Amino acid sequence: MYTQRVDRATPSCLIFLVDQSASMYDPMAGTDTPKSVVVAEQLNSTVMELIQRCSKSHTEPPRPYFAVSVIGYRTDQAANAVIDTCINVPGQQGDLAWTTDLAQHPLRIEERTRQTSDGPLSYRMPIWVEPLNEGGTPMCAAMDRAGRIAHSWIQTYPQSFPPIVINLTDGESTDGDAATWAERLKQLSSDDGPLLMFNIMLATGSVLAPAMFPNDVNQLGDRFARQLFTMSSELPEFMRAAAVRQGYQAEPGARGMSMNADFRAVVSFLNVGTSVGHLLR
Amino acid sequence: MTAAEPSAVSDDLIGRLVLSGVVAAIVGAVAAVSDVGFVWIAVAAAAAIAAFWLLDSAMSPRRDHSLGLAPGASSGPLPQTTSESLPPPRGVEPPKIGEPVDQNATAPTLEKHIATLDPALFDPTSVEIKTNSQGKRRVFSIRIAKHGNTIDECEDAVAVDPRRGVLAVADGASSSFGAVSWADTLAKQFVSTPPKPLSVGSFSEWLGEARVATPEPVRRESDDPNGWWSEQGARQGAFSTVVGAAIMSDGGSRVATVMCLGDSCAFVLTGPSGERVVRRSLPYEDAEQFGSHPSLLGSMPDRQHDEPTWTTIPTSPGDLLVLASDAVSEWLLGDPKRFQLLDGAEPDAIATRLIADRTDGKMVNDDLTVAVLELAT
Repeated sequence: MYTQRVDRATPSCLIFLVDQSASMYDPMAGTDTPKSVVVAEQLNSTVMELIQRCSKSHTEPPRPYFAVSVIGYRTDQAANAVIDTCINVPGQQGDLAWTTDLAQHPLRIEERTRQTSDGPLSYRMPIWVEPLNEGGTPMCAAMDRAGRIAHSWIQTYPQSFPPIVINLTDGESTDGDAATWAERLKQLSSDDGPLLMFNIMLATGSVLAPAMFPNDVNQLGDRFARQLFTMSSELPEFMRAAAVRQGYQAEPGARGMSMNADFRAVVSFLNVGTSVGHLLR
Repeated sequence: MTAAEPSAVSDDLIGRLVLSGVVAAIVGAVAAVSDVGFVWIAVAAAAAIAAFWLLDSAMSPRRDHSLGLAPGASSGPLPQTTSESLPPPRGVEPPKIGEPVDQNATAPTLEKHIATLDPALFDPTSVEIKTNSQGKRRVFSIRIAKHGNTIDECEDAVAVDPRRGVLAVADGASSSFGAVSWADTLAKQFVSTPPKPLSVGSFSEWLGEARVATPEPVRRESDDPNGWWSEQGARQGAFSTVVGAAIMSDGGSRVATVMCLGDSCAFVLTGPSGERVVRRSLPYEDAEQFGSHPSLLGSMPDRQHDEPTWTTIPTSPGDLLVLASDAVSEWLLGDPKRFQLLDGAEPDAIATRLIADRTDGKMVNDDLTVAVLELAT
C-alpha cells in the first residue's frame, strides 16, 4: 500500500479543499495577514513545487505527473453553497489540471525576492490561486465534490497512488456533519490503497500550540479536535518520516491533521501531505 | 531516484543526547575528585554542551526533500565511512588501472546490439543493449527505460571500457532538472578519468570537472516568459547516484576498486562459469536496505556533496564484475538465484526477464540498468 510510483502511466491526483468563508479574512495566528491570503500563497507555492518535480529539462515542458484540483467553498448572499474550482487553465478537464498545463498558464507571474545565504535572490513566482472570503462553510458539499473528482480519477487510473485530499479550514461545517462525508471519501480506494484525507484547522489569533499529526485521540481536548482526528487518514510511513524530518514528533499511527495551525504549521503540513516526491523515480 | 535525503533526525538527536550525557558524567567525576567549586565546573560544562550543540548544528545542515518550502533547504555533507580496506595512502602512486593488456590483441569495445526482443512484451524503443562482439569475455550493458518512456528519457547512464577494466553506472534523480545528461556525464567521466584514489586529485576536484563538463546549460534567466520552471530547475540542478569500479593490477594480483555513492550497487561474482556466487555486494547486501533517500551528487557548482565510499575487493581470474542501478540491484538481492541469469544468459534474455519481472510487479516501474564485465583469465 502507498508504494506506487508516480509516472506517466500512473500519475497522481491532489485535491485541495479551501475554506473561503468570511472568517478566513481574520488574521492568521501570529501574523497580520488574513488566513485566506496565507492559504492562497502556500497553495501557489505547493503547486509550483509539484510542477518543479515534473520539470526535466529546458527542451520540454513539465510532464503530466500530477493532476491538481483546488476547490473553494463558501456561501453566497442568499446562503447558497458555492463550490467552485479556484484554478482555470486551458486544457483543464472539469476540476483537474495537469502540471503540464498549470506550468504554462498561471494567472500571472510575480517578480519576488527572497533572502538567501548568498544575499537576495530574485525569482519568478507563478500565481494560480487568489484569496477569497465570503459567507459560510459548506464543507460537506465541498467533500462531496472532492469525492466525485476522486471517484472518476480512480476509475481512470486504478493503479495509481490514491488521490490525496487536503482540506484547509478555520471552522466547523455549516452544512451538516463533515465526518460522515470524510468517511465516504476515505472509503474510495485505488489498487494502491485508500484515498488519503488530511485536514488542517487554521488558528485565529490563538496562542495555543498547534496539535500536529497526533496519534492518540484521547490526547485531544475539545470535541472538534476529536472529530477532525476521526476525519483524517493515518499518514503513510513515508509521510510520517517526512513529518519527523520537519521536526514533528509524529508517532506511528499519526493522523494527517493539524489543530490550531499557525503559519509554520500550514507550510509544514502541506509539505508532508504532498511529500510524494520520492515516488517520482 | 529523488534528491538525496540524509538519515533521520532521531538518530542525530540520540547521538547528541548521548554526547551531552557523557560530558555531564565527566563533570560529575571531576567535581567529585577536585577542589574547584562544582558550580564553576557545571557552568563550564553547560557552556561546552551548548557550544557542542551549536557547532554540531552549524556543521551538519540537514536536507529536506519533502516538497519544498522547508526552512533552510540547502544541502550539506554527510560523509560515509567504510570498514573496508582503505585506498592507497596519499603520496603513493596508486596501482595501475587496467587488465593485463596483450598489445597485439584487438581492442574490445562495446557496440550497440540490435536486440531480438518480443515486441508484444514491450516497446523496443525503450531498450538499449551494448555487447562486446570481438572478445570472448562476457562484457555487456543493458539499459531499459521505465514503462511508458523511451530510452532517450532513461535517467540511468552506463559506461564501460572493457580494455582498461573500468565501468560505471549513474542513476539520475527523476525529480531533478537535467538528470539525463548529468548521470551520463558522471558515468562517462568515471570511465575516462577515474577519480581518487584511482588517479591523483581529490574527489571534489573530480566532481568539479564533471560539473563543468555536463552539457545542461545553467540559465539564470529564461528567454521564454512562461519558462519559469526552467529558470528554477536550472538553479537547483540535477542529482544522481554513481557507482564505479576499476580493475587494478598491483604486481601479480588484481583487485576491483569500487566507488559507491547512493544506492546503485556493485557485485563481484566468483567461481566457475555458470556456477558463480556473490563474493561481495556493495554498498548493500540485502534488499531490505533500499530506502527512499539515497545519497546523491548535485550538478551545481560549489554545492556541498556527500563523500563516496571506496572499497577494494580481491578478485580471481574470470570473476564477473556487475554494476546495477537500484531497481535491478534490489531485485537481484531479493533472490540470489537471479544472479545466475547474469552469469549464464544472453543479454537479450536478461533484458526480457527484467522487463517481464517488472511487468509482474517484482520490481517497481523504474529505469533498469546493469553492466557486466568478465575479468580476464
